Amino acid sequence: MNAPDMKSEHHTTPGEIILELRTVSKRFGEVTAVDDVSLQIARGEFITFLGPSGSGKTTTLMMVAGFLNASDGSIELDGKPLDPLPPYKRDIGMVFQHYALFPHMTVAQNIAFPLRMRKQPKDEIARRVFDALDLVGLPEHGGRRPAQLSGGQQQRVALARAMVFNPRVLLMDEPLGALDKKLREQMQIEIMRIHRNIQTTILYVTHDQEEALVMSDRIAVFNHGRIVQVDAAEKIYDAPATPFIADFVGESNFLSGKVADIADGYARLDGARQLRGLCGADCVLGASAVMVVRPERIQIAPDTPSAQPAENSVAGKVSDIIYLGQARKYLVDIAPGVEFSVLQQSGAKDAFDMPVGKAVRLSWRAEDAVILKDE
Amino acid sequence: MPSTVTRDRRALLVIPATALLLVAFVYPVFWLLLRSVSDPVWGAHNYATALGEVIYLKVLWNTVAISGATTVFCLLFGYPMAYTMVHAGPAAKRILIYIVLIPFWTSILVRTFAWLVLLQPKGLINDMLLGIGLIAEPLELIYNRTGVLIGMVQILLPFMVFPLFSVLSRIDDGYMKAAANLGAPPLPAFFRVYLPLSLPGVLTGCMLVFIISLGYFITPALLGGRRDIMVAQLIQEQIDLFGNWGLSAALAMILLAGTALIFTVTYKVFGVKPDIRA
Repeated sequence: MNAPDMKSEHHTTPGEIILELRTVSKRFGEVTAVDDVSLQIARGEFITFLGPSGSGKTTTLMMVAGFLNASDGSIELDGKPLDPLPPYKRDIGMVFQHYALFPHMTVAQNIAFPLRMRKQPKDEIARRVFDALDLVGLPEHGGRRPAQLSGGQQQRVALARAMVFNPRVLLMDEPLGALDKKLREQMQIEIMRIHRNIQTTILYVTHDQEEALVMSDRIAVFNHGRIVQVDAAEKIYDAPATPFIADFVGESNFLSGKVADIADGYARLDGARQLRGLCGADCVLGASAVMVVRPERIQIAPDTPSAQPAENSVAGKVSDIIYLGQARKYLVDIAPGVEFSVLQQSGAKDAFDMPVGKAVRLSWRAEDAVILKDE
Repeated sequence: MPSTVTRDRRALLVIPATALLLVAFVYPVFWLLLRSVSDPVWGAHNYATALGEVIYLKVLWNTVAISGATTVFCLLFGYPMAYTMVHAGPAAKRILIYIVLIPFWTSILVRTFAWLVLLQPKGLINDMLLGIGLIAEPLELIYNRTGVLIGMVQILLPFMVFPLFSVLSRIDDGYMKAAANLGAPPLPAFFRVYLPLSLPGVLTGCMLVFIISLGYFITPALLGGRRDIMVAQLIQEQIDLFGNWGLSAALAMILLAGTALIFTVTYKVFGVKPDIRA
């Protein structure tokens, strides 16, 4: 194995391209499930397809695996087109949503299956099955049947089986969807550890934005069959390309208006409120736009009648307080039908000064807000 | 406790069926067993005759051989049929189901006579084959083993197809996808993954067909020759022509024991429970 810090190199310097999707579309009759998707994936990268259900992410994955044929465009692996290859010749591993472990085989036989199909010698198979079981932390479970394992253990076996033959790319289709929250978080860490160890390229599909943020080098956000943004997790969160992404990844507050002024990379919205924020990719003078602010970037304080009108500062009334343990979420009505969500760390001062119904003032810095073209 | 009362009351529900079984099955079987060792005199001589004399042994062997061959052919025809039914689109699936069901709803006697018409030397099939010049002489399709098998396979096919259909439709599509993804071409994927997963259906179908075949009467009687006599015909003949209740009872008991043996062996050897949900 190479140096473990290989992984971080991949998204900083775009390394060698292993998988490339070129203007890939998939139509089912009248419905376009995947619409003109292009993407380059670097060797060793952990990339996540994130999107709501029906956004085309799983369909795209199935085309890479070979279970569906693209209606248009092409997919290349290691510079060679995948399209003519049936699934069993692609050498791509996959962890299925419900694991699809063969119930009539033991755990060891399941893991040995791809090696037997590749006609590996017996002792080589035994050695690699042992190593794979060890890697996923189940060295004692080779003789059991899948049905005798817990959900988390089945998940590990599915992972071991999908990577034991050193596939060129490892696909994972919502692999943690069936697990409870605690186990899911544990498995996220586990999968990241395994990814660091084996340094394979992983293409991961999920609708869980938190999971995507935690695990990925890069995230490709899908909506209506298209990729709407591909970026590192931090970029997706801090600089969402569209209001949809701001809403889907994490939580956001929105204020709409028209772009009145653009200067030094900042834009100002028209209206009585002095709203100013970073100018997003599509923000054009005069266009209708929304300002996006994350709940944890907003300061909340009791309103004082003497407060001077200032930039990015709005008055409102607390309508609800949700206690989350490590934080407290305030829902604040700032205009009829416009509610802002504000996150404040627990233990912050003034926590008890702002009960429901209290007049408060919200404020945030211009660099913590993004102005995006309205969709 | 109320729940106990409910459970006790619920137990009443099994009484009608149990009563019927006792009167119409357990009692006659016991009566047969008794006749087989007491008619005309006490002893095991009826069994000695049934299992010792060549003609009776031959009939027993015929029964097993015809039932076995019927089962094998039903499996060979039924598996691809059930597989196609499971993987067909909704409209095609419905049509295929009816193709299996409609003959199934037709009386066995009617179907057997229909075969009689079709398979005769001057029947439809021979006429057609002669007509298109595929054969020069009529084939001997009737009053022999071929006729018996054609008739029995056609009549018993639903008993193979439906248990198989039920099991195959419950095999998750994901398993075959996983097999392909892991590098298995279609045939190895079928033999290593799909077939083993379908085994409960195969066993249920085979057992149903084999066991029903063992007691078959009308079809071999009408379509078979003298050399294709099965146990049921022998029993009928023994009672009808000779009033030989003792030997008939012994033959019936042997049939019953054979059936029980098959159940047990299948269960033990394969370790798979036949799928009774079918």
